[in-house]
Amino acid sequence: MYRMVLFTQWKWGRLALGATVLAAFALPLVAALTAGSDTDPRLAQHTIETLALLGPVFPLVAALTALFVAVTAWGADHQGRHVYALSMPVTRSRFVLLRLGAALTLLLVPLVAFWVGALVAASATTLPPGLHTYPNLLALRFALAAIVAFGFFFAIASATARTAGYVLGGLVAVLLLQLLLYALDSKINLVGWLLQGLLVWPGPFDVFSGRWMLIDV
Amino acid sequence: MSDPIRKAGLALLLCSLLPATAHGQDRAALETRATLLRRDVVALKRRVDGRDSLNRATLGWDSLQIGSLELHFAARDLPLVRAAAVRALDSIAPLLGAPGARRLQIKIYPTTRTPRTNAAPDSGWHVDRLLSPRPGTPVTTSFVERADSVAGLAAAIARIAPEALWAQADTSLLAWLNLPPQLQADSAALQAAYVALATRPERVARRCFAEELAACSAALGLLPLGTDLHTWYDAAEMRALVKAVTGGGQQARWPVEIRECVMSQDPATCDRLLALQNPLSLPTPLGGAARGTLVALALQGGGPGAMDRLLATPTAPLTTRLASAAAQPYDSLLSHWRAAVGRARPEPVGPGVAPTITAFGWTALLLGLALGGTRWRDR
Repeated sequence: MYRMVLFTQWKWGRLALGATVLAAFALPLVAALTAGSDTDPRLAQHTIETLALLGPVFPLVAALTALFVAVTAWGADHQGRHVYALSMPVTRSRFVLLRLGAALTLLLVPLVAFWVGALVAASATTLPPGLHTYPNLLALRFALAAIVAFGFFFAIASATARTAGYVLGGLVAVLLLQLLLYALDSKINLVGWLLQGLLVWPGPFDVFSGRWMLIDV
Repeated sequence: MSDPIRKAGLALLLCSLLPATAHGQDRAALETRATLLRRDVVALKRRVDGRDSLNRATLGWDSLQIGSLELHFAARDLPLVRAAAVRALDSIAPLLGAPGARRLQIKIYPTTRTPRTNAAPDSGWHVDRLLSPRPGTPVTTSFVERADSVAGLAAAIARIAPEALWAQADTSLLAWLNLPPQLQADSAALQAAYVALATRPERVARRCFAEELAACSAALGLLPLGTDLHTWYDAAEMRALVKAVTGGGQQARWPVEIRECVMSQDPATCDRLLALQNPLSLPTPLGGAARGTLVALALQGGGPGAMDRLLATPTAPLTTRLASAAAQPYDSLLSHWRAAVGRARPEPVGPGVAPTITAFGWTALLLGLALGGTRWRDR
């Protein structure tokens, strides 16, 4: 049954998955090419600065990869109003587990592609003394970010449209409340607290912050 | 007897009787009276303290001044801030020696001033640098999070308070540092020095990275005055620098001197052109952050009175002053600095253990929510 679910999810999402695999594989190569490959020590600072500028692209690609995989896992079910799921002789939790297993298997593909891309980029790069490549650690950070984001998107996608609406509505409500507070000249920073809670440890998306560097000192 | 005479007589009688009365009082009565007086003093003090507290509570804000440092805080934080100040002074006092310590006076007074930023009073403390270490240096305000509590506040105080001492016309040291000096080489400063050392483009910085101490001295700008440019840049770097700072635009429109330097590769012309530039506009191989760590390590290594020794002879060469502060030969200090910077290599980019565990924990929670959800009853 798992194989069938995996196959159907692959069929539904193969285009999006192909795009994410390509992006994940190419990203470290693009970063290495942009930073330049030269043993000239005068370029060390330029290399670091260029890669620091590219840093935010890595977590963005990780999040988008997770989003595509999570949403395509449930897309057909939402379109069919979950009739297919309800007609199956399995419990809901078992069905969700099957979807989750298949989605995680598919998520592994872009993660491995990123790791391979990072290894290729690192091996093709020559650096001045003092700089080092970190393909494995960067791939680990990418994988963690993608898995956390996948957990978030999968939880929303697996729920009803109403639950997704609650989450989205909650976020919009916070933004509107913040605007209202600004209008009332209040110093309360709801959005700041929310971001702090989400992006700073022990928040769920702490792994998204920090340095995303293929090459560093 | 007339009335005035009667009064005078009465007064004389009283005067003659008073000593006798006093002598007549027994010891127990006097002690009782002294005890009552002491109680009165305590009660009065309580009332004064109470009124002071009331003032502070009314004003809302209090402040604490140490040397050039002035702290602003909610009045109820006074014990906490005072504890931080004491801790800070304890940490820096050994470096100061007696003359330095005498210049750091603590003054506590209520104030109606409120914080300049929008931060809520409960979120932390404002640490204002009121005196500029050098003319033209901007007056800055830093903010210490309440979460950092006494330790963070003490660190901020220890960092900023001694600027009152540095600001005393020690122009050569401050011009060399180009940043407010630090008493302690913290890990962030050493890491910044490591990054500068590993990434600076000048050949002299690369040689320092390769642990050539003479090159470190040159890169830090500690060679005799006027020799910096030749030790910092080789001929190719000087040409590139001339091109960068003077040779903008099309080559055909360059003045003759720039062409001689850049295209004809005449080193004398390059020297002349760079000498015309403002020295502060030229990139230094190892600037303020790295230099600050050298000073901080000299002070840390020098122990009691290190800062007084550093500030004692403002006209002496910096190498001599640093060696004197560190109470060790300059070469040893430099070697110690290079080793400390080498050890401060920043951690690699990977997530730490705690964030990794947390990430898996959150993922498990989110997926658990997905698994335990209700059936799809609605759309």
